[in-house]
Amino acid sequence: MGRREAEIHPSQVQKQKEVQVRLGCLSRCDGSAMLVSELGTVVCGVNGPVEAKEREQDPTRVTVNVILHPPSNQQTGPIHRQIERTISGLLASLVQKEANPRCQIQIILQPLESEFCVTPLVNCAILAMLDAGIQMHHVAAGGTVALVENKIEEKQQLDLIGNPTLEDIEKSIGSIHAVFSRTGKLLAVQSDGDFQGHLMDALHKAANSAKPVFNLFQDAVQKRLQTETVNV
Amino acid sequence: MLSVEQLSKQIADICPEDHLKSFLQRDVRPDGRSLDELRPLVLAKNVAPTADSSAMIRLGNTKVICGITAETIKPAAATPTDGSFSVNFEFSPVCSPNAKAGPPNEVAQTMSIFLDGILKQVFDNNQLCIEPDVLAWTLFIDVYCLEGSFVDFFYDGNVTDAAMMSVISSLRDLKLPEITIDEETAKPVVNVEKSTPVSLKMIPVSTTYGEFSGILLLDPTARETELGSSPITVVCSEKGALLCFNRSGGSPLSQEQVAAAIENSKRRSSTIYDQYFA
Repeated sequence: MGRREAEIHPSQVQKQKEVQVRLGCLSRCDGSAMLVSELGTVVCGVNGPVEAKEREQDPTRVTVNVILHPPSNQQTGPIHRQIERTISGLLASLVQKEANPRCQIQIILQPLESEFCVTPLVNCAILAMLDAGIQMHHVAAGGTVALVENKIEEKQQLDLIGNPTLEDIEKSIGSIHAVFSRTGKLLAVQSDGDFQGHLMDALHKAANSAKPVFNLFQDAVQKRLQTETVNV
Repeated sequence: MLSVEQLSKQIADICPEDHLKSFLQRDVRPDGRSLDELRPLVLAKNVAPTADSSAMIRLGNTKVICGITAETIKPAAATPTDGSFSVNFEFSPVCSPNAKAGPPNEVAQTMSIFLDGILKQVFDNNQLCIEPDVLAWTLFIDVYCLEGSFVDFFYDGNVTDAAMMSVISSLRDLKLPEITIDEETAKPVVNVEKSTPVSLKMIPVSTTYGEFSGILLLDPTARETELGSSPITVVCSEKGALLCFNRSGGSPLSQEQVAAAIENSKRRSSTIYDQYFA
């Protein structure tokens, strides 16, 4: 597969280490988004509401199916199932379930790098759902915090890093991926490692890292609407 | 003429949310428990004599059994002084109408990952080494849910708690026989008379809260889990170390609720430790 000069290849964009969003990048899906961030590049496609298979239909609410497609050098395993469950539980609570009974919303997430984590997957899924126009109660955004041990003058010091890189997370004692509502209330959380009494501080810090993501959503949707209007 | 119980059951089937709400308004749950009360917990040890160690937990109607089998393997080249363990959780087809026979579904795989993640923090694989680069123990930890339902995205919350406790109890009872490598034949010699127990760095206890309209309910039943949004699972050690905090999404929780849930879990961890593992 060759590179076309006019298009931006994710590997080029990634070197800038700047958060970038592109909505509507996949023409075959009802909604799509590409998110480039410190924690990885993710593409998400959303289809729905579409008719669900008869055995999966719920007469009172919509079914949310999340599929995490691993990068090309990996096989799916239980870890992917766990991430899928966390994300589908979260998205199911955001979506207006009663608006589309007997239907399903399919969300397919494709990280483009072999190392990935939950937060960019969640943010990209929500962006794609905004692009698809899925009715939601409210919007949520994810933030990550890592607890690292630093040796300063032979003393062990524990530091909380908001917006860590993947390297920071690998070296950390513990990391937390949390999703918050706009008012800072906790919606979903996945923690790894022992936080040694710093969990509440970590959650507070994660809420702060999630705040600018809401502005990112707003800008992305505004830009998308402007493009659509101009094209018409 | 219907009895009060029959009438209550019919209302629970017709309008379940109103039924639960009317109880919660009076600070009590439909089964008579208070908001932070556990169902009766029973721990039975050595229930599967064919396994090297086993335990069954009954938490109300939920039943989970764990069996551990130890075998010897050659250690991996990258970690010559470490043994290994693998956790496999399955919902037995008898546990609920939702469960089907076959490979573990997504829900069961998530549980395996969860249990594995906690064990990695409290169990040191070094102790499973018999002879570096020659022989080590590997533990097959099989956990089966015998009764407990799961719906859509989340299972009966207490399957988590019961599963965690059954694994820890089995590990505490596990004794590995002494193995020495005979110098002449280079073959392992097993001495069943001399067995040593494995050690855990700390005892993790899992506490799950269901969530319904912003109220946290300790040890939720299947119905409470179904009606509310995703449960919260907090895993604490007996000394109060926080090992895991998971929730897959639902109604917003305030910082105070999160702090209260964590405090309660710490207290419960030390109580469970004193009662069952001290």
